[in-house]
This record gives sequence, structure tokens and C-alpha cells, in this order.
Amino acid sequence: MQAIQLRYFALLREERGLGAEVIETAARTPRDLYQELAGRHGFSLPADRIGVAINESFAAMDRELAANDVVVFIPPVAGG
Amino acid sequence: MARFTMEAAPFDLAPLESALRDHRAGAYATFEGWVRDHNDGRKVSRLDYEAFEPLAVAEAERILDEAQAKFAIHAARAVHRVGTLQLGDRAVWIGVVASHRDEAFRACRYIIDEIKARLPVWKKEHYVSGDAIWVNCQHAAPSQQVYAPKLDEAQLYARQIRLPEIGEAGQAKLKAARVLIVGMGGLGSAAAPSLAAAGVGTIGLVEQDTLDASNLHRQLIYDAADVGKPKAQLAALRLTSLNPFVSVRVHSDRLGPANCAAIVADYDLVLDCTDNFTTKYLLNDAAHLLGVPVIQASLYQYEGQLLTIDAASDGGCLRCVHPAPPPAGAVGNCAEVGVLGVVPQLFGGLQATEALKRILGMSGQLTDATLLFDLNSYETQRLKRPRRADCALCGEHPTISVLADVTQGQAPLNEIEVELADLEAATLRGARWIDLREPAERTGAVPPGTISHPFGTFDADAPGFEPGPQTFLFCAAGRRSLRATQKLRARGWRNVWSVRGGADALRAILTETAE
Repeated sequence: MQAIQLRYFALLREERGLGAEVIETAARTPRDLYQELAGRHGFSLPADRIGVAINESFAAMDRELAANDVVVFIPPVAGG
Repeated sequence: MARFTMEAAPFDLAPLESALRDHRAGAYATFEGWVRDHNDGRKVSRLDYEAFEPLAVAEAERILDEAQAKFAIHAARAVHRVGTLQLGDRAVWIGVVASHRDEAFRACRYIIDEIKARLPVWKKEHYVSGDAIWVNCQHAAPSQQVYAPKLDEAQLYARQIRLPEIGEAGQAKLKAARVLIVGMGGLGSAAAPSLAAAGVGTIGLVEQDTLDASNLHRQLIYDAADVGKPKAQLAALRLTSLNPFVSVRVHSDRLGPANCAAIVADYDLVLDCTDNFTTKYLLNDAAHLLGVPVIQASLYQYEGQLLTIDAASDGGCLRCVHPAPPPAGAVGNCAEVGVLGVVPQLFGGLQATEALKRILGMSGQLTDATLLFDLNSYETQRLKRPRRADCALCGEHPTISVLADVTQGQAPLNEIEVELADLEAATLRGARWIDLREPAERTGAVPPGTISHPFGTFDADAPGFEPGPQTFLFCAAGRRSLRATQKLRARGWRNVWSVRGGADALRAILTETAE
């Protein structure tokens, strides 16, 4: 288990009901972490439609997570 | 007889002249505008004029009243054509009678200048080369130079020229810049006046909608009185009123794969101010395939994101973060989920800022980063956006080479099954085909290059082909291919679909293509 600092954006913020939290997780990658959270909070978008940034840079969903990483999940948005 | 009319067909001058007959008049001055065979260095073959008639008539009546008040004339009349005009056709006619010629000439000049400057009339120029463009007839209102206190263009920009990053040289760059704004909703209506006021020389507007009352809480360049009128034309009117030295062009067709290259070709920079994934992906792809930088903003309620997609930089594109749009309806737009009016104001302002920085060559642009800004917490994040090696557009082995509607003609990315009849020939030709039938079942033609992979030995963990081009799996009836596709999708594959109807559906397509 390791601590991850999470930030949510747009639709995910809405579905999670908050913008940021710190969680303890055994997930090794953002994809695993997203699946875990999606199961817990009922996120409507599949993992392959979510962008992720780790420590202020966009990253692949299968990159390995490290303790205290800041992870931002970013759903697509199109409003204008 | 009304003093001003709009005529849809060639008109007769005799009744106009007789209506002006007046024994007090010693002078009768007329002006006619004709369709000429060239404009801006291009050969013109014909013109289409379009106007909002009620607004045009009311404005023209006001102009005639003003002429009557300003000059010692007895009467004035004017006619403006709409519809299709051929070379040499009379487009405008003005007639003024006065006791003396001086006042008649001056009033006539005043009326034509004001009509050109103020009437909401648009012309579509058809060129000898076959293409056509809508041109705002109002640009560079000459009357402001003739009758208003003389406006010195440099004075408009005095406060920004003082900035060391701008100066006279920077202002000249702005004047030479040509910026296309796609979408005149919340974002566009905030970005456009900022660019016009800053002196960006040429501004194109792409918008096909009319003004709706629900637009007004966030689209501050429009007036409540104009609900129902075309937004592009209202916006162009507003921009030219704000800065008469700016040339505004209107493109009132929806931007799509067919017209995108032709429209974008006239501009150095595009602002994506749209509210839908179809156009956002189209412009993202255009940034790389046509080489025009695109500044994109997208909103969700109280938050938004801003990025610049630039093929000349080493930054990633929209597809590097989101390879494909979400399933239809999964993420709402402003109409569906709501938006606080100031959010597009701020993001449109940020797009204009990014555009000015780009034109002026300033540092800190978002070519390799995305800015997220949340107005709930006032938190901003600047996320680095490197290119992804496996990006289908800007990666090492790109598979996207033509502009297309991401939601039409291509396989619908959000569904697992495809109906081949709905797909375009180019999509079918570019696809990879996997035949899951057992050897004993294989009859009939299959597309060239089809890979055989009997379902009995199919292993989704080692399917025998790599992710890459759009891949269509088929079997005899479409059931086994659906199961195989579901397994691949569950393992993170994106670009695979099952062919609905199986080999029979495929045969129908192959026969049709052969014919």
C-alpha cells in the first residue's frame, strides 16, 4: 500500500463529489487505480477514455506509481 | 413608396427618379455601385448578397434621416440589391435632390459611405477559380475617416505599444496576422473582441448558428434585441464597430472534413472555440495534417483547459491525452450540464492571450503543456504534455493521414460492433481484417491481407497481431467475433470492432465495391 494524492477534473470531480483526496492504495498503475476508484464511486467513463497526469506531466495509464505521486485524472471535455 | 428598399431582382430607375422630382431642386446627384470583376487581387465571376432585411431597412432609414438633417437637401432615396448578381449589375443606387449641387453631392457621398459601413449586408464572392467566400461589406468604414473626428489607428494601440514585448514592430506583426476563430459561442465571443481591439489585422469567424436567448448570459458581444439573427454576422458587425481597421471575414458553413483545408488555408492561426468533440478532433488533426497551429479551450461547468496544438513543436496533441472522443453523450456540453457565464469569458480571454503571445513570439506558450483552471478552488495546474510515441496522429507511426469526422464514416469508437454499410470506402480499405472462422467454414471472398485466426485457438492475451490500425474481426454470423472483440477491449484494446452480420455482411460490401 502507498499513499497517492489524487485530483479530479470536470465530470470526475462531479461524480466523485470532491476535487482532491489522499488515498492508500495497492494499485500499481493509474489504470488499476482508476478501475479501483471507478468500482468504488461508479465513474461512468471507461479507463481508455481518461487522461492521466502524474506529478505535473501527462503520462501513460500503465506507468508505475510511486508513493506520494500526485495523480490527476482528466476526462475529455468539450464545452465552449 | 418607401425611401429605401432591398430588391431581389434588377430594378428600374424611372420610378425612383420620378419620386424624387421636385421643382425646388436644382441638383440631382446619384451614385451607383456595380459588381466588378476583381477584389483583393482575385478575379470575381459573380456575387451573392445577403442581408437581414428588417435590420437593414431600419438602419438605412436612419441613414437617410441623418442625411436629411446634416445636409440641405429636399429628399433622398436608396436601393440595395440582394440575391445573385452578375458582373456589371447594379448593386446599390442612391439618389439625392437639393437646391444646390454641393449639398446633393455631399449627402450622396454620406449615404453610400454609411450604407457600406453600417448596413448588415454580406456578399459571397464567387471567383473565376471556382471557390467562393463570404465577405463582410462593412470593413474599413470610410465614413469614420471622412465625417467623424479623424481616427488615427496607432492611437488605438498606444497603451500596448508601450509594452517592451510589443512596440511598433510587434504591432506590425499583429496587423499582418490572420486568425480564424471557429465557434462564436462563449469562448469565441470573448476571444474575438480582444483580438480585434489588439489590432489583429484579419479575423475570420466560423459560425452557422443564430442567436438564442440562452446564449446571452455568457456571450457578451450580442444584444438581446438580436435573438434569432445569424451570430457570425452580428459578431462581424460588432468587431468592425469596435475596430474599423480590422478586416473581418465570415464563414457561415459548419466546419467539416470537406471544407476545413480550404477555410484554414487563409489563416496563420486557429482558435478552437467550439463546443463539440467532432470539431475539436477535426481541428486537432488539422493542426498536424495542415500544419496550422490550433489554440484549443474546452469547458466543463466551472472549469476548463487550454492548450496549443502545434506540429512544429515537440508537444503532444489532443490525441496524446485522449486518443479518441468519449462515447456519444457521456460528457455533457454547456447546453447539457450548464456553465457559469464568466468561465467562457475567462477562457476565451486566455485563448486570445495565447494567440497574441504566439503572434508576438513571447515565451510561456502552451505548445507542450495544458493549463487546467478550476474556478471553484481557483486552482491552476500546468501539466507537461509530451508527444506519445504511439499517438495515431503525431506519434512515431501515425495512422491518421486524412481529415475525417471522428463520429461519421469511421468505425464508431464507442461501440464494439460495426455495421460495414455505414463505413466509408477509405476506412474499409485502410482496415486490418481478422477472419475467426474455422478452416472448414471459409467460403467466399475476403478483403486482401485478411489474417486467419480460428476462434477455437484464439487467445486474447496473445491474439497474434499488434495494436495499430483499425481492426475488424469477423466470423460466419458475428457472434464469435463479438466475444473475441469484447475480450480484447477488456484488455485495453481500442481500435478493434466486431463485424455485425459476419461474413455475409462482408460479402455484400465486397460485391458492392467490386461493382
